[in-house]
Amino acid sequence: MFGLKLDMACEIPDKYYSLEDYEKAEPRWCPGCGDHSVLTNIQKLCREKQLDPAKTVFVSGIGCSSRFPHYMKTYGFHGLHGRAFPVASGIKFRRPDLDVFVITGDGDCCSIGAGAWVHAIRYNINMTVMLFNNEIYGLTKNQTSPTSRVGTKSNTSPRGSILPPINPLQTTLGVANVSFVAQTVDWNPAHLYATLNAAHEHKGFSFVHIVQRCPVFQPDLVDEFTSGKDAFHLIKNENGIVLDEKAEKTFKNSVEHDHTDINAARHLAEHENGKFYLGLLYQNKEAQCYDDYGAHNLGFTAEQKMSVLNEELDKRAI
Amino acid sequence: MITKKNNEDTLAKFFNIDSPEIKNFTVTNEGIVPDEKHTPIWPKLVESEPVETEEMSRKWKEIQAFYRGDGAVLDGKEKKGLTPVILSSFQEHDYVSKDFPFWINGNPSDEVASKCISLDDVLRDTVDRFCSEERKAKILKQNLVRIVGHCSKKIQALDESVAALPIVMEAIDELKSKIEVNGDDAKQFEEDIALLKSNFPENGYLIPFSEKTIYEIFNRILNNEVALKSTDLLNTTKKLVGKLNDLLAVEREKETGEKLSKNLKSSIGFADSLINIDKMSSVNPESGSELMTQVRAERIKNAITILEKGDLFFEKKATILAHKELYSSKKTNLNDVFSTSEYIEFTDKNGCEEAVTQFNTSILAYEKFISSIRIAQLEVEGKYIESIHDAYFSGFEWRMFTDEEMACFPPVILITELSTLKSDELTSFSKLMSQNIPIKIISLKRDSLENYKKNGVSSDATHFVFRQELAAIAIAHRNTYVLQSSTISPEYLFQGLSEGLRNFSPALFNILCPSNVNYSSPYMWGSAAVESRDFPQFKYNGNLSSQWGSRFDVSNNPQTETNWPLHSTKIITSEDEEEVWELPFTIADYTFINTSYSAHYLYIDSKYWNDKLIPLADYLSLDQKDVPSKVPFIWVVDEQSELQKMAVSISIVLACKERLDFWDYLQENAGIHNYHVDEAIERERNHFKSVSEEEIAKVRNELNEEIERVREKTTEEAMEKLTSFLLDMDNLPLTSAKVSNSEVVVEEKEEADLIESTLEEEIKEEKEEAVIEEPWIETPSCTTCNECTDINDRMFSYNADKMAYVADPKAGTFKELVDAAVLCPVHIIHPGKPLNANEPNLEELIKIAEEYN
Ligand SMILES: Cc1ncc(C[n+]2csc(CCOP(=O)(O)OP(=O)(O)O)c2C)c(N)n1
Ligand code: SF4
Ligand code: SF4
Ligand SMILES: [Mg+2]
Repeated sequence: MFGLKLDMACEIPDKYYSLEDYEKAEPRWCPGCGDHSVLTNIQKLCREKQLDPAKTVFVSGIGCSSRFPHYMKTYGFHGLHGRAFPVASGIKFRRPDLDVFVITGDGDCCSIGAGAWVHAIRYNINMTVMLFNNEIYGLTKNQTSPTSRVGTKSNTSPRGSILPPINPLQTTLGVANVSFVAQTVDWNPAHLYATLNAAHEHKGFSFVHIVQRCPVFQPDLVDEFTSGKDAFHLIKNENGIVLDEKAEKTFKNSVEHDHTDINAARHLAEHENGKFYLGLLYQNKEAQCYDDYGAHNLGFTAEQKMSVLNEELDKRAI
Repeated sequence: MITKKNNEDTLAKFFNIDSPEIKNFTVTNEGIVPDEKHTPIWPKLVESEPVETEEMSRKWKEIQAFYRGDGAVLDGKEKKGLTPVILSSFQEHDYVSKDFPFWINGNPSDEVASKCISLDDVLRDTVDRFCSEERKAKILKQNLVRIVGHCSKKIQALDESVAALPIVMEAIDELKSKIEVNGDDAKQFEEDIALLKSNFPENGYLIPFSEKTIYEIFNRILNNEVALKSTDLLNTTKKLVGKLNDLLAVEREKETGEKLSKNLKSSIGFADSLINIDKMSSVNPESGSELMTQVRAERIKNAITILEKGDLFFEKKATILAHKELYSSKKTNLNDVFSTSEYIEFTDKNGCEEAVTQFNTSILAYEKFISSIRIAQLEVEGKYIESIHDAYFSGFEWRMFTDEEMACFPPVILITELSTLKSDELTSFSKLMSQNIPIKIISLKRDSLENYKKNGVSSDATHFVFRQELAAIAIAHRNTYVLQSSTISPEYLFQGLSEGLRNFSPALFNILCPSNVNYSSPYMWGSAAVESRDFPQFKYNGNLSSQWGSRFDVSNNPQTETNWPLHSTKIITSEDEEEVWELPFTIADYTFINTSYSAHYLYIDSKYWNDKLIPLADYLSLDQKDVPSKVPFIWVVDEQSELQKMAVSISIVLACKERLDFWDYLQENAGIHNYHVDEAIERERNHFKSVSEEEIAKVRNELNEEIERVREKTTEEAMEKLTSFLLDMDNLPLTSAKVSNSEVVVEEKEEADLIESTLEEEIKEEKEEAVIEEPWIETPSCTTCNECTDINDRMFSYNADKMAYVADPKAGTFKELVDAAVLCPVHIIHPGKPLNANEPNLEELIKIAEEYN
């Protein structure tokens, strides 16, 4: 409208959150650990979006990476091993006003938590999920994880693992009602940030697979990752995750990809010839969100809720 | 044991009912409900089954009767709280745009004196001036809107223009005290605030949006423009007076034999240290022996007397006339606003005639003043020839002024109502315009009803009249300046007013001043008036080049290319799907927000919707033969956010046609969809098409012939070849073609290799050159892993984005630098060369460092 703009009515809170407002405690991860980078970029994302720390929750399971909530000056829930998703789903389901982030490790998510993971994907509740994949159990000091490559030597497979690893991208893409799948690496801050940002913007279960370095138990992989620049291909799409020119130049190779095409996404997820495709693999904005149906009875008064509850209990009274 | 009561409390806490504001949700006693202000609620289309044929046709008879204006009052449920779809999202708020308050430079000698921009822009400009790659002032930039908000509240309450600096400074302090920023950001923020304070322009005024906006702007322009020009003229006058006095002094000396230098000294004053006055007096051309005639001496004395009083002309910036009743009932006191001008109120008189009389009086003295300047100039140069100039000056009048001389004249301004000019004073208005008297008229339109009530729409469609467009009438006088603008476009208004004031021609400023007479949100009303083409904005400058088109401009309207501006709106269909609709904003949408027109709209329940009910914009473009039985409607939204159809009466349809007709007229004059141009283009296109078709046919023929020829020839050649091939079959060099081909490939490859290797060399050279002595980190790639900071946190530090940089290379050893470079997981630390030549093991360290430099 002539002279009228909608943003004129926006109300701005009186507090401006700076990085420090999201920082708590000195992270106890090893120096050189990829987790540091993700933490910083998440804090930056919070600052950029001026997320109210009192309205933001970080939920995790158990693992090195799962210590994440301790380092955020927001609400947090350091849960049980493999149970980050049910906790996060519950929070979001009852408190849709909160911004929910989930931190999980390859052990936490793909091993003990695999059952919860599958259903969380299908429920497609609005949350930003980060899978820190260092292909090892870090916290418990070096055990083979379901994502460890064949031949990985660890305390549990001293002569090298024999089973082929789970591909978390492929698994997620295989679950019904999947709505957002992206991949990034911890050591490219620009790409990491852009990916987390896109995930946060997506409404639904936004799954970000973060290739994470563990210099302590996977030193060889760290070398392979950081020296093997050729392996990492940037996924390009003007409607997907768009990097600025400078950040784009950090990639030697790139590929055009339609992230609405699930078969094309599965193809990229396969890491054929050792190639890693970074960016948005798949997005479906139309997928059903279970939380859309969850907050409805928030309109009930406490009294109404009590009466319903009592009614139910009465049915079971002996 | 858990009692029912305490269980309830626990539950209440669990559901957070007592938590204060929850983002996007409001906590009420009933529970938490989505906050309508934040969650956009898209209009929803709810359709119902159409009624039986009989009922339908009965209802439609009524609808058609309503359309024709039979005044049929229909049943059906009363609908309240309806808004045109496009306006619905703006309805809740009392909007005043970011254009307000706006800022006018108050320093007339400043180059940007003609600058008028929103406070928001001034702040952004100021911040941009001290921003750089290093200083991004991000937090400050994000919060400038708060400064604007604070000033806006303050100034809107004062309801008058005030000096900008104190208010802005106060708002900046308020921002600083209110916003909490921690850590590194806090220091940055504080510095940025200090810079903003010291860089904000000192002289300037803030103007709020109100009924008075037009006067406040106009007053500032008068003060800037007239003040600036008159200063120049007065300086010239002073110099001339000095010189004339010198002439008289020389004359006196000739009479008395007195030494000249003493008198000259008095007039030159300070300059006697620079000039040898004794010497000058002896070479002065006027120091001849002949005496000045009495007449000439009188003329000079006369001129001096008039010129010496020159200041008086500029004591007042303008003479402003207004009818007493214009503001008798309002709180606005024009006398206060125009305190630097002469303000005259009149009653029971014709404003235009009054202005002319006033002009004739004030210009008389000014004519004398200007003619005295010219006489003085001639006298000083000794070029006054009585036989020519006496007659010239006796008939001297303002029409002989130069543009500059006219521009300095404190203008005569008439402030009046548009309706007065259009009715009682139309003749005198036209006379004033055609006589080319440079009077500036501000005509105010403060009521949207005026047009339709009297002229356009009435309940009886036969009363339809084309609206008198005063601005268009003024343009017809040709040598005029015309501005039609609303106060919601302050920049446009400011530029138009300044331009019109500067011009040596009569000017009409036809201004829409939204006030809260009929609408709770005057800003929205003003905005809708322009949007709906009810009050298009335009400028006409008769002084510009002779080509008509260059004088006229309609660019400050929304979507100048279209009939009605189109807006995309998201809606939810009855199948619960999102759809984007393009809807026009028409006169019918505009008049709908005014309750005086409610008789012209009829709510049609969805059970009566059928294909006879068609969107207004479509209806307007229907062929005449398709019109019968159809009734137009506009989309509106009710309080439940459901889409409803409002049928529109024929009176509104006629009003739409009338406004479109005027808009067409403006468009064509501004060269948009111009009939003649379109015709010419069509003609040319047809011509070009037929010519090119001929051409294509010709070329095709030639081509066919050529192909035929070549075919014949190649067949011959092929036959020849085939024959020789068959004949020479034994000694045919079978591989020759292949060999030559691969040779080419080899050559190409060699070339490519060459290019590549040179490239590589270049890159290598560049890299080698790029080795810097100082240690550095590719900060944007830092992964915040703490490796380096753990080694030495004074040497390595994190920036505001928590990415590492070399804070102090001297804070540690070269060994620490090299260790960090080796450990850095992303290899972005470059240790450079050692700073301390006495460090142990340097040789070895330098060798390792090379790898990372
Ligand atoms: C129920 C249960 N089983 C086992 C453990 C032991 N445990 C702690 S962390 C962990 C694996 C963590 O690996 P991952 O999720 O990859 O996290 P990382 O440390 O690699 O970041 C295991 C098995 C536990 N804490 N709880
Ligand atoms: S063990 Fe590995 S994953 Fe865990 S903190 Fe250390 S480096 Fe990080
Ligand atoms: S070692 Fe490298 S990545 Fe780690 S903090 Fe230092 S510069 Fe950044
Ligand atoms: Mg792990």
